[in-house]
Amino acid sequence: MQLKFLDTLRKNKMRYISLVAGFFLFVAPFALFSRLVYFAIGNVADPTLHTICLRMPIDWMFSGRYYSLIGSVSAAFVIGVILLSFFLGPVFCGWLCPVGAVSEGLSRVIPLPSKFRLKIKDPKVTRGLRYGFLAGFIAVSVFAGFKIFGDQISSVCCRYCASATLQNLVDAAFGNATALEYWHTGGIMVLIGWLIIGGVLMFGGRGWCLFFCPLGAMSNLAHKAGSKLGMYRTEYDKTKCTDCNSCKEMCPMWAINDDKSIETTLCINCKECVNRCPKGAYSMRWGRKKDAGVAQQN
Amino acid sequence: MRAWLSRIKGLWAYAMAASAAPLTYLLSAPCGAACGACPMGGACLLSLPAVMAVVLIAKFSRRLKTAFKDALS
Repeated sequence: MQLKFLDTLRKNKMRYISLVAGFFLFVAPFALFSRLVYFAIGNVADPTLHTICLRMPIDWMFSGRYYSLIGSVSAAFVIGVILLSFFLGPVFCGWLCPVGAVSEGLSRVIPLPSKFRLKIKDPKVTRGLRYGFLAGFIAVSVFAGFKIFGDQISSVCCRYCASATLQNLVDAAFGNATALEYWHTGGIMVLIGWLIIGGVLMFGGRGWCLFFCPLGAMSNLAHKAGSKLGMYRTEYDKTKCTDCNSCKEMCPMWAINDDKSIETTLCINCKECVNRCPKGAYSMRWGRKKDAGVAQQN
Repeated sequence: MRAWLSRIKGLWAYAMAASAAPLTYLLSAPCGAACGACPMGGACLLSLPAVMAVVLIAKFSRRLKTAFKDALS
């Protein structure tokens, strides 16, 4: 178990270094990226992971609060992440996102045997749950923004936010007492859902990313469109495959289909399958598909 | 047939997930961000162990069924 963990760490060291860097880039009190952006635009507010919220702009977009999008750092950030996903795949999710990094890291470090971890074997079901939640999230934003049920639903996405939970955990660790105000039941439910059920009890530790992250889901839609047009993506060559299934065991996003092709609506270009496959059946590729031996992506 | 079943399962999962978020938000909407005002009165905290139990039971249901069959036979 320990050897397998160390081997994974060695083979994917660049990604893990990048994920650690992501923590320092986006989470206060460090928040180096956010500080740089705030400094550049002359914003005097204290940047945290919460102030560059990755969900609110999606809420604003669908709730008709377009005025909030203008000049917003978080809106620019979300649009940037989605554009980046179109060209390079969801590299923010796979290589920088501190929320996914913490739950995935926890899952890798805690040596829970595989039989105690959950995984949905059919990527179509995973995809259905993920995009179903996105549809529900958008529906709630529309209901709230256009007051379809009067004032019964207010903007509630902050109550179920893993980014805010991570920021408050770090704030509490650095002695910020105001962070304690955040610990209502919604926050505790998120903490358990994100780290325990989605992290420790699920294969790959990316349960939260898979089922509850609207930015991740939208990034993957952009990636699917981009990969169809020949942008950067992971590809599978069935002529090299020996059906050892090590790719399926390693994929944190459960994005490998039964025929071993990549499900682009789930894949985060993390390269775990590329680095794990002993026969090099997976590769990163630009441009339109020409080789007949390379399986069509879903 | 298998692909067809898989598609139906995917659509079912989509419908379940799509209805879950609005329902959750509707149920918890009145309490806003304040735990104290929540009409569930902390029941959501009690529901967490129940959810985890359901998850674990689902995980081990096949093993339990086999154990029951063995015990009965």
